[in-house]
Amino acid sequence: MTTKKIELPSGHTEDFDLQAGSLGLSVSDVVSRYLKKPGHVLALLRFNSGEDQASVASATGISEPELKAYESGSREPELQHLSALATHYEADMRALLEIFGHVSESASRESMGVAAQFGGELTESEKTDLKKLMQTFARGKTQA
Amino acid sequence: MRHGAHDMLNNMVGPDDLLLQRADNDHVVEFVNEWVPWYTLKRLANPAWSYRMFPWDQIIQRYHNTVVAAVDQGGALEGLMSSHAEATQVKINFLSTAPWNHGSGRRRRGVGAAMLSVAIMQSARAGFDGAIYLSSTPESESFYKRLQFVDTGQRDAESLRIFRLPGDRARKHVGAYPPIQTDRR
Repeated sequence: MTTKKIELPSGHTEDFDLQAGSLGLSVSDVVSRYLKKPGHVLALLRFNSGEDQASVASATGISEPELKAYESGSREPELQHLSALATHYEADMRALLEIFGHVSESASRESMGVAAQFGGELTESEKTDLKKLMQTFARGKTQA
Repeated sequence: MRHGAHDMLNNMVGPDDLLLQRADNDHVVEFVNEWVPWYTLKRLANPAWSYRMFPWDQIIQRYHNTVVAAVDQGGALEGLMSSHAEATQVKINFLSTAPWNHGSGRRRRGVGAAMLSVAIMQSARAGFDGAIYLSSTPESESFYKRLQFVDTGQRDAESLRIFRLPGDRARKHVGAYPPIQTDRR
């Protein structure tokens, strides 16, 4: 990674890594960085499909309490349930496997560069939670 | 005096109702609550969708003086750009349009080009004749070529092609975006 000193208007200089991060974050990086729980992805998929938990549960053979636990993040989804949800929502199974840690992403120099350059966790309040995801949907902005 | 992109932001507006603003924490919140869910859903629905997701929360918080936000009248964050002046030209570090503006079915056109106008004017103000350059990901090369960028033939440390918009072409680009409205922030 090449770095250059840049002078900020404040007069401080800082190393600005101009190269790392150009390939961006993977979807599992994004989920772990910005969502409070990986399970919230499942809620996001459901909000997007406009269904309630009862109908997804019945379509996938997952019990409602289990689905609720998966979405809230209090329980990790079992593999066959994850697969059923991926099929139901027509979602990329490989990405879901990475998100839930079943598969580790191939560690490329570029993606490690991103992680190294832009480390630093968000605080819990900065991460997006189910309530904010619901609000996003209520505003009608999130249509894949 | 440093010629930051922020210096350009008075009297700049992009196409239609787009406003160009200094990026701040409000934009970080929009990025996390709007771009992230949208990106996640689209990426899960379409593994082949080629959108580069940068950690804009970090870029804005760490390098906020280098970041410009493009916002619509309703406050929706439509684009972000980080740029800074080097010795002889301005470099675009990161340029993103909102995920809903990328690819087929995109909602808005012209967001990236509008933000590049700010960098061009930053470059002109710094005495670089408006020249700007960047590294382009492969899928963005046609976008930059359409905007009259030149392939320098060089590649960066990640083997991305380096494209440059020389001053004479940059001037024509800015002519398409006449300044109309002041930055409301």
